[in-house]
Amino acid sequence: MNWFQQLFARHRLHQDLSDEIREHIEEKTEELIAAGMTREEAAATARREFGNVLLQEERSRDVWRWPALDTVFLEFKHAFRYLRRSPGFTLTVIATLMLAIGVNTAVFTIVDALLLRPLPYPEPNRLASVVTNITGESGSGLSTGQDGETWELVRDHAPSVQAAAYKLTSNGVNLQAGASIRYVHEQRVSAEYFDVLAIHPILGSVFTHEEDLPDGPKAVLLSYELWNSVFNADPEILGKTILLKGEPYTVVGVLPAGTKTTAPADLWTPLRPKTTGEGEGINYALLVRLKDGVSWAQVDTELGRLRPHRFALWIGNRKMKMWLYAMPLQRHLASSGGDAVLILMCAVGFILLIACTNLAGLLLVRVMQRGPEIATRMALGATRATIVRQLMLEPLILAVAGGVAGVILAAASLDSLSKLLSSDVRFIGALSLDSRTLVFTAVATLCATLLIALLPLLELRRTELGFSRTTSGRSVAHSGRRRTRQTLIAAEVALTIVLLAGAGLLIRTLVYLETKPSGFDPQNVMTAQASLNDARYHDAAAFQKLVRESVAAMEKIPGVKSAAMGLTLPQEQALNTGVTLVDLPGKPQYISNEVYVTPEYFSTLQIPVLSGRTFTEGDTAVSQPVCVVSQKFAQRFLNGMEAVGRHLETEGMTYEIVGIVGDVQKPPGLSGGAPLLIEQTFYIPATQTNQGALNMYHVWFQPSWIVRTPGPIGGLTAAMQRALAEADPALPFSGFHQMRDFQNEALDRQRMEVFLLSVLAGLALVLSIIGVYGLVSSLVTQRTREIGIRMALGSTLRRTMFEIGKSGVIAAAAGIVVGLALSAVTARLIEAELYGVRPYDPVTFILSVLLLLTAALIASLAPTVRIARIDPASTLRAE
Amino acid sequence: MKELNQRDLFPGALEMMILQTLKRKPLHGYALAQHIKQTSNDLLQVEEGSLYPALQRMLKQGWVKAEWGLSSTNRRVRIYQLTPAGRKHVQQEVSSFERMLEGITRVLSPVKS
Repeated sequence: MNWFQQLFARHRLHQDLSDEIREHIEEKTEELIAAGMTREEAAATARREFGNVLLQEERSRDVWRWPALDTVFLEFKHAFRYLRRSPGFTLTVIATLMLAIGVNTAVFTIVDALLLRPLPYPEPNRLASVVTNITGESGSGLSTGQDGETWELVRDHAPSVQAAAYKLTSNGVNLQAGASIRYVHEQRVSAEYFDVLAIHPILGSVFTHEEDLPDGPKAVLLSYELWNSVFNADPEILGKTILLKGEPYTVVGVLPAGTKTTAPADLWTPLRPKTTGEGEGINYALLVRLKDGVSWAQVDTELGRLRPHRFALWIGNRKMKMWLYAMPLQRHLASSGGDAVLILMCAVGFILLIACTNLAGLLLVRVMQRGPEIATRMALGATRATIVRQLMLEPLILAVAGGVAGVILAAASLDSLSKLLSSDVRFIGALSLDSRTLVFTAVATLCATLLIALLPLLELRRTELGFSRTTSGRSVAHSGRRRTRQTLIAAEVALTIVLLAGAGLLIRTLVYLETKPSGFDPQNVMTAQASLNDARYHDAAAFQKLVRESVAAMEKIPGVKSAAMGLTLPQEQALNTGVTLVDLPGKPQYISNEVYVTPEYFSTLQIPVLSGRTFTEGDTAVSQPVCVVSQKFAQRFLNGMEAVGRHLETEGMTYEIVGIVGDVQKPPGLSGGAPLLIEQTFYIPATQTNQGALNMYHVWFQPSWIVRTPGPIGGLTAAMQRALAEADPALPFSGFHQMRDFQNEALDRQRMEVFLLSVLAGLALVLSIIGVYGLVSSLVTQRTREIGIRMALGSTLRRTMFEIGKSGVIAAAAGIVVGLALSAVTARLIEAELYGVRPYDPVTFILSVLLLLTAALIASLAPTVRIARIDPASTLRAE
Repeated sequence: MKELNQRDLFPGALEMMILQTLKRKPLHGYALAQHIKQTSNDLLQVEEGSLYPALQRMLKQGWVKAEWGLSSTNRRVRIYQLTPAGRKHVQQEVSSFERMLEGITRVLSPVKS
């Protein structure tokens, strides 16, 4: 009989056994009667000779049992029954754990997607990016961009790696497919790129070295998805030409479905790396694969020996060190969100700790209430092991229930969570509950079980038989136990303070960034972008015509107050360029943001003109080149001298400064720092751009058309597209944005951090309040008799309330002190995320402390109200 | 109180006796008890009930199998029968028991001086 049959045959076995034994006794009785005994005598003798029927039956049944399993089963049944008897307690614990484990699981899915899940390439842990480490007096940093010379050095002088170069970000470009034009993403990669990643095309082949030369044949690789949707999976696609950026490109291959490269892209073109032009700046990223048997240290030594010329130029006579090394590709790709996610992981870890501390307190009370029962059972011979097992079972059941509910909660929140993440983080992989996440959750659940069960178990060691049985919870509360609970609550409060202060600092950062003057009015401004990285616009005259006609058409849209066009918008990354102030002694050179604009740009955005004039229709390609500088430009480079009338030289042209306009916010381009800040900027008329520079601009930037309306207008975007079509029917807008979205986008990450940390801090606060309330509340119950005596002896109600409530307040106060000390450390950790507020911001800390203290006071005093209802006489009688 | 001539059986002894008895012919529980009592001349006092846990153990081991049937006195009884595995087992047990008994007897026999 196998175990399965045994399990089901058990009932039958028991029945047979009982029948058999009954028959045995009857047979014996009848034989004894036949031998001459009376029926009574015979029955008694038969039973005596058989022995204890019940015992023998029990022993016989035991043969079929798995004793350990049966005991555990029984204990589970007991624990479940015990939990069902107090549904309030059970639900509270499960709900708390669900929240705590749920947020941990959810955040872990991000950590998993970002840092743990292997990249979708063969041997992903042999892939690396070549990055520059810069160590100077002002600290150290990394730079992932490399120039053309560095690429050649790594390619030719680092024999232990297989190297490739690529553009770190993809560009939006126009693809002409039949009659329509599609806006797609292009990533430029060198010939070696797909070999290094070990991606093999399903059709055709990767780029040849000829195609990767500066003037090589124009080739393109398509993504499987693009091939399917735009080219109907045409099997004859190889060798055909497609019109990309207005130029014919030959399709040389199609990549497998679902291919992910280092940036989101629909098609790939050769990088054609060079050491001039874009190759002079750090516009490339370098990807390497370690060859077999090569160690990371070996690679770093090889890379460290390479000294591109730019190192010497940058270092000059400053005390700086720069060197190249290999950073694992995964770390590089995750670096944008990695730190924030780790901060978040710490925060949710705190939540789990707080929740467990709270529940440990709750369970401790329960165990104390069960003291007499446990003592009785031990007196009746239950072993310590049995009791321990039982005390562990309850938290285990609760934690597993909470863990399962938490996983469900996390799974449900994944969608909204992935929306919160910025797109470059999302790209690396979809969030999902994979086996790693589930293992993490299981471990978290197990830890929770241990944390929750630990205190009651320690308590058990203290349980002395006699003491517990007689005194139960009625007498003066055991001061040792109270102290244990107070310590727990102090710990909770300390962790809460850390979270509250952290959230407070981030909130103040966000408020600072959001309320900082943007320098323009984003309300009621619609923007549209289009890619001019197109052969048809390499000619400046064609570009001028497009700008003139499209802006004029947009001005005619009914309801539009003004329309303009510019290379970049405020709160959008701008072009950096070198300028020379030719009138000043020594002709100083500076770096500044540069934007080309049409005349109505300033009025449409309502950027104030501080002095002089802005551009007019009179500033044309043949008139005197003029420019307008921002206030910061004037202050910084002209030190209060009269700006108007002076001249600046850039890209081989000299412009006369004709006006000064107000500053607008920009994402940091020149200096590191806050996500939005003021940087020096100069504007030139779109009509007076240098032909060569124009083509370069449009490789990197998509210019924006902007219109201001008095209020929201229906169908505005369609009208804008029609207006653009009047100038060029084959040019699609790549996207429309409300001007105010730019600020939201720039502060996306801050907003996400604030949102998540505030939710967590709120959760921690609620848990701490529950903890304090629970402590005082249980003290009131335990000390009813003591309170009765105090009151009978003449203590006032107020004093008694204070005496009892005090323990909660003391615990909270101790927790606050420890929490402040802890926050001093953690505030330093998030310093990099703070703007406009110092890590030791007194306002934040005072507010956090006040908030928590008030909450703790209320939570401590609320339960003592019950004291007023205690009647001294009746409590004393009840004893 | 136990009398001196009554000793507890050593573990496995009851099983061995049952298997040995069943080797001759299949029997039901009561008949088994009677047979063991008579053949041992009442020297071995076995509590009749203790037969049943032993029988269940052997059922579980697969040494015996049981079927409901009718006894010679026309009672509905559960008759136990030795399985091939049980037959093999009893042979091993008996021979090892005999070796043990021989050893004990040698030790207990008077020493020749």
